[in-house]
Amino acid sequence: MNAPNDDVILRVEDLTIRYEKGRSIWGTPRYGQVVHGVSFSVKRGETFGLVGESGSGKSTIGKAILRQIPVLGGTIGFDGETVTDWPEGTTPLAYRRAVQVVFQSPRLSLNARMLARDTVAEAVHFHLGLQGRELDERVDRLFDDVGLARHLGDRYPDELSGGQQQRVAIARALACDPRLVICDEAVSALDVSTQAQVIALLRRLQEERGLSYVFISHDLGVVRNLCHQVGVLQHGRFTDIGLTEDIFERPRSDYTRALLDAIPRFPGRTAA
Amino acid sequence: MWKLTFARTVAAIPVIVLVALVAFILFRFVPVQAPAAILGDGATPEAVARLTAEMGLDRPAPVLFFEWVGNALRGDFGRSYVTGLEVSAEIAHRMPITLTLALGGIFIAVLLGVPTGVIAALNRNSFIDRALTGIVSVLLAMPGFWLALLLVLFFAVQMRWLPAAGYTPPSAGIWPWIRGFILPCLALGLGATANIARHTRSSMLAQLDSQYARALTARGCPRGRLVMRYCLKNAMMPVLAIIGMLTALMLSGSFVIEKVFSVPGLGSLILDSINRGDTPVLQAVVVVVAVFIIAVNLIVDIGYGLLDPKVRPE
Amino acid sequence: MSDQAANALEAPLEAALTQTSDRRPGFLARLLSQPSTVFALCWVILLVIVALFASYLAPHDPNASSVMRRLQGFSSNNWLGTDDLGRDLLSRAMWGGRVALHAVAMAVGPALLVGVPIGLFVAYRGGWWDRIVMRLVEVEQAIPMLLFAFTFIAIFGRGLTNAMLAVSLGFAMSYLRLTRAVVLAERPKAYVQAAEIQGYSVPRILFRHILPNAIGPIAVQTSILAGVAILLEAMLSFLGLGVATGSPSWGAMLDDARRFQIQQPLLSLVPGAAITITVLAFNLLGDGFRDAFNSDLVISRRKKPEPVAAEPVVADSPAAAEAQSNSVLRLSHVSVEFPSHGGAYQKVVSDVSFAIAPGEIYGLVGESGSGKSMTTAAILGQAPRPGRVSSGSILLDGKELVGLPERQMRAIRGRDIGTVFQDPMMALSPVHKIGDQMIEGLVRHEGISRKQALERAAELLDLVGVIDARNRLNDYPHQFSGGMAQRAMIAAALICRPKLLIADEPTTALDVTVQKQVLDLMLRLRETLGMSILFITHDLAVVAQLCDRVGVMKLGELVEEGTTSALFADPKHAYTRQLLHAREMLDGPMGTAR
Repeated sequence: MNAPNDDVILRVEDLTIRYEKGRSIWGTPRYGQVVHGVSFSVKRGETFGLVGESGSGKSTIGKAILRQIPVLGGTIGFDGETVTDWPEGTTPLAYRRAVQVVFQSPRLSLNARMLARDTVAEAVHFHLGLQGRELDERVDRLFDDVGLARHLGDRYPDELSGGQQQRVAIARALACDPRLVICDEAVSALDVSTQAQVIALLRRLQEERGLSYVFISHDLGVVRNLCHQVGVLQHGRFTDIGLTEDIFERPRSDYTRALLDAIPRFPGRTAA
Repeated sequence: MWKLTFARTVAAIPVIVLVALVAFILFRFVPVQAPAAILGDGATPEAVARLTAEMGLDRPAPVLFFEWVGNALRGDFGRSYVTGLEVSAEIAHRMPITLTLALGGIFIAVLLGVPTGVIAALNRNSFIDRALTGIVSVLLAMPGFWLALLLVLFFAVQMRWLPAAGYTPPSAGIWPWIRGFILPCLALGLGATANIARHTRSSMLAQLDSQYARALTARGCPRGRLVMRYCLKNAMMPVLAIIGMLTALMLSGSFVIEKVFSVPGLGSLILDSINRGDTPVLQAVVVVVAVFIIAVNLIVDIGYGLLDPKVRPE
Repeated sequence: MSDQAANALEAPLEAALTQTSDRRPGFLARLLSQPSTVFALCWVILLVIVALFASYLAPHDPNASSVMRRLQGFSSNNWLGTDDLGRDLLSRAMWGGRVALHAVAMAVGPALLVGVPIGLFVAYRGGWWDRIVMRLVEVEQAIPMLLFAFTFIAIFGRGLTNAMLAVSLGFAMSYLRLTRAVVLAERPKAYVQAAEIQGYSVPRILFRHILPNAIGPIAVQTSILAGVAILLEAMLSFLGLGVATGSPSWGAMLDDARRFQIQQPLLSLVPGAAITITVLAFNLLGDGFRDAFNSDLVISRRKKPEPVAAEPVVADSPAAAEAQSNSVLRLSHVSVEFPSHGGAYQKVVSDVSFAIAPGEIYGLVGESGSGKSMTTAAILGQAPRPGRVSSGSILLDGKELVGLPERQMRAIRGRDIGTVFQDPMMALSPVHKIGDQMIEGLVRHEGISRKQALERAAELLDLVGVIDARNRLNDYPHQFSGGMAQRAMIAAALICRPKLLIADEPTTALDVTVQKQVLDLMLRLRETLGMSILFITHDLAVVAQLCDRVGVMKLGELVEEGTTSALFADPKHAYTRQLLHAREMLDGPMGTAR
């Protein structure tokens, strides 16, 4: 990795990823390439949006940053360290603490057999080693931070609404004071009203804690609203990348234009 | 399709070899090894050692294993220590009886089980469903050999419709031969019937509740056609695996049923061999049964391929 | 936009859920809610007590024979009669229960302790460990459990312990396979991924996160294997390979019965019934566990407060009045209700009225729990089982659909009403050809031949923009992309030229570019075919683009209705405003449009 740039927290260069498509009847793996030489960087305290349709490879890039899948080529640099140099299956705990995730389905991302409070407390205890009253206070504070009533901690995920579940997931992600959070379609499974709430929460947390986000989404409206920079992915390549305003006002590629055209519009509000 | 069949067949070979190896290793732990068994209780250690050398059993185990496998591939499982008869001849003589019993049992099970499951599913939560499900639960819990005793008591002793025991070879006439098999096959098959009915019911319910069933109904597809043409095919896919598993179970089940009906199949051969420590017979039976079961699984796999267009290449 | 401002917008279902203090009943309460499970539990407990205290409870010595009292029936001295040696059957059956439970403990205990950890380990480790262990499991599976037990007995000598050791080894494989399967199924789930990303250690993830989710299936399996163990013990003792000769075991008792049951049927009935009831009890217990564990994952979303008295639908423009007079579909005060926990009925659709004019596209919008999909189910006469249309009328072209017998309803579905569902892949049977599935209704409704019907299907497939339509009729669903499959579903819905097309979230599962194509297609088809469309969606923007009029639903009620332009320009109801506001917040202050 090149010299650490104070401004940039995550730098992805020429990232190439393949995945196992399946196995032949003889058991030899067959590969398909999903991401072809993608480069982008995320600035401290900013949000980078990865947009694309299904199969574009946007979630795959997120998984690679989270070290859930191996990469075939290219580098991922985080805060001056080259993440892709670490051998597969070994990820320093420091990196785990620095980079967290919020998934699409809040219901599935929580352990159904664990109380909401325990899910958050486990992470706090694991990373900070807190116990007893200190642990309780810390968990209470996290619940407050994500706007979750404390008494809801005594419920199982199934007894919470989608929005509440997602707040628990966010509290868990924040337990170790991360610097970068990957939001993988973090609001797409929620009702519109709830989406607005969660987006507002994410934005507030960014302001308060100086968090950086990689925001993976298929919803261009939300991306435009939340992201400082955007990369539009198609078949594993960027068709457009740059400042959000530039992309939305002056898309360079036909695909991005088609994507923007496809968004349903409000008749009343175009006039306004 | 041929590629799939071939691949699956090839994949089965190492399993068979491993089964043979496991059987071979296990039987080397038999406390009374062959020479001692043949010579009887009064044999001197010298005599045993002499016979061991004579039989070539003092050679290293790998050599013995490959010799045994090589012979087995040619259909030669050696001779029984007790009777001195050729093991393969003995098995060839008894296997058809056990196989008839097992296949008869699974035939009855499929014939009765699938419609029972379908009828129960179509009448979900009705009286019919509850009654069928109740019968199925009891049949599932009943030991086959007790069922056999009850069947004998009723059909043979009470009503005198069918023979209570014994085996009539087909050479004595087809009808007497079939009559002899009806009760054993029923005793063997009713438990499996219950199993198939249970799985068919739950699988069918899932299909009836599926989106595509709703979509077809919304398009005006009549219910009978929906059930028979669409749901049944989808529902049978998981049941196929169950049928395969049960076919395999029929074999060992028949060992017990044979005793009730005094049918001279593999069951009595095995019991005799256990009592006499007749290792070559047991070893051979284990391998033959395993090969049969692996073959059944292979057929199920291929059958699955025929049903599922995703597996079946155009 | 501030956090507070956003929090003011609460989805109605979320709000309702926050207010409710209902908790789902605990595991034990759910387990004991089934009478059959209660029976099973009682029997097993009884059996355990009898087995433990057989020496005190049994009326006679199980081995005391008496030539005088051979083969007796019921009597005050021997309640369940005696066997061929004059031994008391009840006492023998009680001691037999002890043997049976002993067998269960010996077979299941070690198997559980060995199989589950190894299963957890190989599934999580994967690679060579997994491959080697699974090959061994395959080998074990190729040898039936009974034959395996025979082999063990031949080698280590007869006796219950050796026999059950063999069975235990087989059970261990069964636990191993089950645990492995559960772990492999759980591992890709988001909650395990989240735990991995937290950096938790492998043992922590396995034991704290995955194992609690595997306990359900393991408990069910244990219960079933307990039954199998009893059957196997009985079989082996029946064959004379289990307990020592003369010992009281249910299987051995049946062996005695084999010879004397003609003289005394009780001889076989007593042990046979004992085995059957015990195995049945274990199986029922397994079913009970399964239900109790599963219901624990059922999302208790139905719990929401009864809607307050229905507010009147906001009066609206003349267009609506016009639609009233001459409508393809008209719902008046329709309610759909479901039985709730207490047995009382709860309304999921409450007093909904709207009408659709010929050629009109009517959008029904709402968030989750709004009852919009239940409304369409009611129109199609497909309200899911315990639910029912409790009041109101649904007129299709002047014909009442509420209360119509299923037979007549069938003649209407597909012919007068075409339907498109959310997920085209789920709406197609995976093992049947697309063409055959498209024409099912057509062949029935119009009585034409299959060949003619396929001809029509090809035309329509062509019309909705599927290239090479004729050949694609012979394809299976997995050969279609999502967008193409949804086009095929639209073609199938239109194949009988219905007056009304109901589209239930038809674009939700699709990508935006495909969504646009499908929406454009619907507009074009409306022009060419002239049918009306009832479009159900959660997406206001889609409604804005496609629909002539809109109805907004909230918790089962239609809260506002109006022409699209009027409703978007000047929303009357607070909830409509809230929905629009939320969308505005999501899309940012400038709106979506460029």
